[in-house]
Amino acid sequence: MALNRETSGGRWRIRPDGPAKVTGALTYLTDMSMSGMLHGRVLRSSHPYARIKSIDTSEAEALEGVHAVLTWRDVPGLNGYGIAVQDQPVLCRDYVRYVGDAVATVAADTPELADYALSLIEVDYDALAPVDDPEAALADGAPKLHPHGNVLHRAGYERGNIADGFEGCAHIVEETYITPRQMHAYMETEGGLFVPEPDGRLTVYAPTQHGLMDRLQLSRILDRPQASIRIVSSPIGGSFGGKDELNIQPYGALLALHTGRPVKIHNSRWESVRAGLKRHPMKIRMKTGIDADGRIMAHDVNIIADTGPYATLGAEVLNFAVEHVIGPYRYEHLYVSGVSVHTNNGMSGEFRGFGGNQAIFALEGQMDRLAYKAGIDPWEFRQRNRRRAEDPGPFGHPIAQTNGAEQVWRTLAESALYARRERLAYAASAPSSPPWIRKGIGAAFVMHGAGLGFGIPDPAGGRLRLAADGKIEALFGYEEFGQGLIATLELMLIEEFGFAPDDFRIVIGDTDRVPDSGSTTASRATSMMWQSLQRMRDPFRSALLKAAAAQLDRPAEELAIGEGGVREKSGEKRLLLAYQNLAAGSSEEIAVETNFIFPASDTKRIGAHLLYTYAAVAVEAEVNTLTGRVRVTDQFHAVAAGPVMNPQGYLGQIEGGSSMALGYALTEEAIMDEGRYVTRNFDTYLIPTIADSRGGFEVVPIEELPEGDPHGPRGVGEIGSVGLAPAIAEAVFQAVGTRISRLPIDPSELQKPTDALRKAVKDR
Amino acid sequence: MPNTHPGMSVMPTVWRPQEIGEAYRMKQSLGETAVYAAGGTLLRTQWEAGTAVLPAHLIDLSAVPMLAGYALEPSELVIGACCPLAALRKDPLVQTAFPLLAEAVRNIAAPSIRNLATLGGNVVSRIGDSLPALLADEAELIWLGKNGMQAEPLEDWLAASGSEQAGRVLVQIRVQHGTESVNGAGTMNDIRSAPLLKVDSDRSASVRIYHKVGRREAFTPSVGSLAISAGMEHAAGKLKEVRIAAGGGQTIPKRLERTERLLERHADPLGEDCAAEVHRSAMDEFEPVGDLFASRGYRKMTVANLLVAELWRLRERFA
Repeated sequence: MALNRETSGGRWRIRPDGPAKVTGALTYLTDMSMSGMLHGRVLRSSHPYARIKSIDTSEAEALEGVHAVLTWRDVPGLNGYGIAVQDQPVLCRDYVRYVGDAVATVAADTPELADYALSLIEVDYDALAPVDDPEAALADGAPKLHPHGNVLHRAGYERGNIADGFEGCAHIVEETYITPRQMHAYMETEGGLFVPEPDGRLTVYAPTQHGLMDRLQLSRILDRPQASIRIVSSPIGGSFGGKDELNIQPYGALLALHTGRPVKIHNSRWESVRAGLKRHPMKIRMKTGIDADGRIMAHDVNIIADTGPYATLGAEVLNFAVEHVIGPYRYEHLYVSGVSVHTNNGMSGEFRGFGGNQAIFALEGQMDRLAYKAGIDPWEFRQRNRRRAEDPGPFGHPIAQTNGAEQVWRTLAESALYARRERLAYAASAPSSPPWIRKGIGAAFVMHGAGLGFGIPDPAGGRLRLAADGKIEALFGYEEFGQGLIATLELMLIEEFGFAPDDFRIVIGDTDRVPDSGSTTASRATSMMWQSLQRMRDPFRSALLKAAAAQLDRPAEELAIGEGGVREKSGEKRLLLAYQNLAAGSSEEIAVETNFIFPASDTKRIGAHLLYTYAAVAVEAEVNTLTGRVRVTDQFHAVAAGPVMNPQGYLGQIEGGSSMALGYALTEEAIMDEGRYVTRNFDTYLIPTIADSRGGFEVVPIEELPEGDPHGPRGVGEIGSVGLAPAIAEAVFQAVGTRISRLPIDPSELQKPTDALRKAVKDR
Repeated sequence: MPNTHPGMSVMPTVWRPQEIGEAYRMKQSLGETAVYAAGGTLLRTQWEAGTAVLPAHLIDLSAVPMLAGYALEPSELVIGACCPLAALRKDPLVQTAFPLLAEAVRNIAAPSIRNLATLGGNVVSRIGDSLPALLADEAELIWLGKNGMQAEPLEDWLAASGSEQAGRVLVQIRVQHGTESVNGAGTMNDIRSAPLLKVDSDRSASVRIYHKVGRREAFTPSVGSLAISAGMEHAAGKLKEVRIAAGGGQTIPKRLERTERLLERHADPLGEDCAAEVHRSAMDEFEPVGDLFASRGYRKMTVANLLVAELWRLRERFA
């Protein structure tokens, strides 16, 4: 059944953070200010690649109203950061390796003065020819950007014997897929307020996806204990992976501690584009062979990822891509090799889909090309080759088994949209449609891992307590950046415990108050909140009832938790003790906490996942051959992710993810020229508008899980963003017969000159 | 505590003249240090991008009565240079009588920007998407300069090299009434949705068509824009008074005069052979500027294709 407002009934709730966000009333962290605060600015590199000969800050320092001009000399601790590897300099000393590299940072009375001070800093550079292409970076004799060279990470996987695999294949498809550098395009650019407290601590009000990781990273840079730093990190005006890594935090923190005054930093869009993370551009070569029955015999893949100058999560993204170019299919022989390469282009890093978007665009492109060559319906082709229940994961590793692959395949096959595919040939010549409009329908099949994967620290946990004012507090170390996590937790508390919305309070995004729930990333938060609540539900309920029993002098067995307080378990379920009174009458705090590790596969393969979400997506697209422009006119998404925890949030994630994928497929590319951004603002970097997002949109969630499944809801934060592009590419092929191997789709490849139009006119 | 230092860029001084002569005199006395501003939407993007420096003085024209609003007079539409795009877009009379302009304005930028951005600003940018529509309607510009008010055909001004008479200011854009016609624009995606032309009698009709092709469906720079105005005698199957103008992106829009003449002189302008000739002619005559997002060749082809497609739609209508 389609998921929408009507079918959700009472579970379709206005999210608690919704009204303030929609009306603009909400104070985001980057809206905060304090009297007496200074304004921070960062001097970024003038060159994509250069040796720094000297830095002279004397003129800037001499300006009245300028309170700090800091360089690498002023970093007390580790002059480096990175979630996985701390190789990105906070402030560069000897080399700059991309245009976003920071060389100095300034605090001044006004933003204009800080800007002016930056202009007075003299950096003497020895400009070097930038390495702007990953293949050139791998060539012999290429300049080494780091002492270890230009390879950040290699990953691969092998099964069978690939050379033998292609022998005797009935059909072989070879293609090179090229995917763009995509920008997160969050509405709120990076920024925050940094406040030195009277007690010597530092409070950081700055968005991030993992407050405790920021605290750890800042403690290393500042050379001070983690306990002396408090990170307040929600609410956030969008992130999509882009704010998981540190951005402006080191500069705000250094300036605030150096001056002893509050410092505000807020990136302009221009600076955000220049310094911020993007999705890894990848070049994926695939050679895939099938036998006469259309079964995949051999699949040979090579991935080259442009990871930019520093590590952040580049290695992990490559691991994920290697896993997902294998995906939900069976192969006789398999060989995957991948390399993540340093260049002087912009920083690549974490982004919704995490390497899956690139991998699945290529993999599904192969499936469609092979099906066409073999004369098999593309969806039937997937059915022949897809994984079966109880098959191991892509790396041959154990996974939590569900029927998701089969369920989404069947649901899409039975959808009204896909059924139109057969009739489309006739519809194209209907008189309502001019001859230059061609329609096609395409589909893609997706298996996407959730959680960080084996071998990467993946803590989880939460806390429930009855606060002194009688509110039940649910404390989690998660962040709300628009995904609807607060609303989801609210609905879980109502449904799992029977609380009324007014009975509780949700506390997130403050390292002084919350337990370590891990990073809000990798489609893991909903899953982990649910698992935490499963662990805490009975102990917390028992603790509440035990305290209530003592106060009421009645056996706990006669009592139940409900709206407003403790109630009679049977009969009219009369309210016996309000939570407020329970709190007031309890001498000890009633609280439970859980800490555990996100379930991982029993394997030795780094990054391999245990939990997967499956999806099948079909789109109808039309190509205007006059202009070559593509419009998506209808979408169908079947998603198998276990029970729907929050209907509005679930639908929002699929719609929002799909909208990002639409931009990925049609318009979005952060173009670089010799290491410099050409698209430096949203007037040239084009994300979809509401006018681009018209047409039907149906989501069918498949909630059924196998009997006894202990893992509950799977994540849906990324799955909507990975399958759409290959489905559009196939729809375009069906419409005009042109194969798309590069994103975003270039309209000039689909434009037909006048002869074609004349012919089309004649044929009518 | 000083907030400024010598050498530090400062916000411009904003002057707010109350009448047009005052604005002109301010510019004369401030010279190169001053820039006229209307909605400021384009200037702002140029300052941010570093393609124009923040001037010392801004002469804000928004309070000058003569530049405000528009008037539908018996023989023409007179539009003050500071008339916001949104005002023209919403008026049903403008939509009916000047469909090219209304459609062009409908596709410029986004709602919040159209409330600020002015037609005058779009015109003096020399690349605005209103220009092909105004060219096809043979609009006239009224300037205030050293010799007082002067009229100049838009086409002549665009064709001139661009060296502006020092400090003259655009006052009005004037468009003559043609035969009443019906908007012929549309998405080109559904043949039924676009009323092509106004049939004035059973003998003649007028055609008004505007297209903008961008890189996305809305709020986009154009890669191609095309305006067509023509009269049609459908009994004879002939086209007359054909005006075709094309632009897009950084291209200064121009009339495609050879293609216009070809259509006017052709015995069977809606025929298949003519369509091929028109396509060739437009490809040859239109000289767009390419960039990283859309090549010159793509832009040419887009405009030529749209033109031929519109001829095809006319033929369908009269076949």
